[in-house]
Formats: sequence, C-alpha cells, structure tokens
Amino acid sequence: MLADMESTSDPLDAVRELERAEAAPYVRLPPAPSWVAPVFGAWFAGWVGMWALWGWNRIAFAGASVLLITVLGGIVRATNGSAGAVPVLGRGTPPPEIARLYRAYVVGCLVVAATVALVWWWTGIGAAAAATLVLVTAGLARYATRYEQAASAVRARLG
Amino acid sequence: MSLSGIDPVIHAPKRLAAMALLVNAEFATFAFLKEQLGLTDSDLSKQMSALESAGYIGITKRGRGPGSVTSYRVTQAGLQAYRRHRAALYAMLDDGPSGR
Repeated sequence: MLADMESTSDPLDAVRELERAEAAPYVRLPPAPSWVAPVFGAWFAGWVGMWALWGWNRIAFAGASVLLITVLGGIVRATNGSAGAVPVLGRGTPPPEIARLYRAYVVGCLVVAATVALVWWWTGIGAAAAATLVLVTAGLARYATRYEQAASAVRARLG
Repeated sequence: MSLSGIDPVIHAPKRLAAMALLVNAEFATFAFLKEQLGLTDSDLSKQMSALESAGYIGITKRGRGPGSVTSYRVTQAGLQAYRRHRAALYAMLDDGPSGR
C-alpha cells in the first residue's frame, strides 16, 4: 500500500509517492504460476513445428495456425484474467531494476530465436521444435525467477 | 521553477497516484487500486469519477452483482496530461531525475 495520500504536498514527497505508484503494476503482482514457462515452451515449439505443414498442406497449416492462436488466447486469459493490473509495455516508466530485466529479456529472445534458426538450418524442423521447447521453457523459468528477485528489490527500495 | 504543466485535476495526491499507476498498466481493477492506494471504496470512487469526468480514464464493468469487476484504463488525453504534469513536477525539483 502506498503512503498516506493526504501528506504529499511537498514536491519531493509527491515524486516519491509517484514512483511508488508507477512501480505498483510491475512489482505488486503475484508470481507467475510454475506452469507458465513449460506451457509457453510447448506453444512456441508447436509454432515452430507447425511450419512442417507449410510444404505439405496449406489448409492444415492454416488450421494449425488458428488452433495455436486460440490456445494462445486461452493462455493469456488464464494468466492475466485474475490479475488486478497488468504492466504496460512501451508507455510507462518501469523501475530501473525491471527495465534492466526487460532489456535482458529482449536479448534472451534474440539469442533463443537465433539458436533455434541455426538448429533448424543444420538439423531440421523436428530438432528445432525440440530446441524451442527446451530453450523457451528454461528461459522463461529463469526470467520469472529473476523478475521476482527484481520486484523484491524494488519493493524494498521504495518501501 | 515551472508550473505550466501542473494539471489541477491530477495534482491532488490521490488522483496523481491513481494516474501514475494507470499510466503504467494496461488496466487496473478497482480492488487493485484500492489496495495499492489505501483508499476506501467511496473515496476511490470519487477520485476515479473526477478523472473520468476530465476524460483522463475509461471505465469498464464486467459482470453484475457481487462478482462484478470494474477496471480502469488511462485515455490518450490522460496520458498526455500525466506526462506534462510529471515533467513539471520533476522540473520543480532542481536535482530531480531529468528526462524520466
């Protein structure tokens, strides 16, 4: 809970309250459930594997695309549906601890995408899908752990 | 010291905190805002009504009765007003974090 809202007439106090309120959507959320990482890993593996259908049957490819999008919608609803707030990307001012983690996340995504592309190029789509499952699951699990650590640090700093 | 960006609607501490939270969220529910801002139901309703009247937030209600959920989102006008107010607030602090 933020400090007493009636006591912030001083600009410095107002800025402190503002920083606490700005940080709230990022650091006052329940930790991500443990099933999120493997489910997203499986989803991305399915997306990579779906491309095996492209050269075989375009209708099957389209059907698989619709199925994956529907499943993704369900996953997002399940993860965000009960949340009291969801941090916005690109518009807000995340705390520096969280902003650093976001940058690391982007780098991690690029590394995973490049690795999967190389595996696909060298060994084929099946191995690429398997690599996607492992890398995305491990990456998201690591990200969730580090996010909770960063959020704890922000909560401790801002009080 | 610049007061040009200070917005009288947002300047009230409770509404400033609510706007600061909403600008950083896709949405926030009434329950989440109430818990984070430490306000009573009636006080939060009053503050959010003032922000809605100014066109700074939008309200979505899902369901009816005890299980219903009220959510708030910041509007484009609210986002711009908040950014101006925030910049003016930091400008009032000589050594405040610039460009944030």
